[in-house]
Amino acid sequence: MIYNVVSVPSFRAKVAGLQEELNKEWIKLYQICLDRQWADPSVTPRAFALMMQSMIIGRVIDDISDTHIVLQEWIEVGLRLIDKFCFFRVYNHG
Amino acid sequence: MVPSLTLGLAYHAKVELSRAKTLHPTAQKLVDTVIEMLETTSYKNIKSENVLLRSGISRGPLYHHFANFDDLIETAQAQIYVGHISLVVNELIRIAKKTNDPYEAQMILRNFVINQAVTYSSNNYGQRIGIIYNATFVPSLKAKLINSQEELTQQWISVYQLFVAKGWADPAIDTRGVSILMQSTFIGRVLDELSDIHMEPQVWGEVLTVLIDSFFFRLVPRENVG
Repeated sequence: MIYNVVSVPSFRAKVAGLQEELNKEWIKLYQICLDRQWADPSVTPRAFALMMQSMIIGRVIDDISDTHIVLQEWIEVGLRLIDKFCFFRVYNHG
Repeated sequence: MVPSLTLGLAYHAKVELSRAKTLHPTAQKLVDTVIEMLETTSYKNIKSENVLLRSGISRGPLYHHFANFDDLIETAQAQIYVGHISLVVNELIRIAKKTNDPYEAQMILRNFVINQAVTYSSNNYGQRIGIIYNATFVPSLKAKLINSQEELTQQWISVYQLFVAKGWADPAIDTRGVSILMQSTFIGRVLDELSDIHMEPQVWGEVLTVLIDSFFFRLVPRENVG
């Protein structure tokens, strides 16, 4: 679907609003973490939104490999990523 | 020195490992020609006579090195697929071998990543997504991608282990997980294309730097970062 959105302008126009809604949800989450002084202020909420969605979309890479990642390991990596961004100041005593 | 990259250079600097292992120079020249043509033309519109004319290679060698014309196109697509990622992996290896000072390594890497984010065309992310999409319908392309994908994953795993060996990265983290995560960020940036509000490439470079630092330099004390 992403390929079709990228390559078909009329489809892209339909999806752009939906994608932005998704972005806003992630942005809202990061803003809450920033307001509570947990998150890394050097990372913009939009960059965080794209990073988290990249992780979700990018797992398709695992589907085109013969050796697959163990689900629990993938979750661990994801949690470390969230810790790094959302709880940056908690773990760095900032 | 920070490499100055363009989309074309990124393509032509690609997959040294694969190239050295598998392709005859004549075959690689044909592949390079197709890769150049794919920058501006859909694979559906690339004809064998145009590739031969542009490469200056006759028809005989084409069918000597490739089972058919589709095989050549798919080989080119597989090389595009791994090209940019290999470039980043090669740079990580180069940096790790160049210095034992993690702060110097971080600084060189930061410049490289931001430069990549700024100069790399969003068109290529869409092209990679397109190749994955095509592979779902074309088993022979999917077979090539599976080989290339596992090679890429192994390259990232090797790089991570190199950083672990230097005492910079955390050995407790699953290396395949880090590998897939790093590659995910290269695929996932295409999502920015779907929205009407776009992120500044420099900002994306900054967040990638944070990501790489958090895994590849996890054990390096932060207070000393310059």
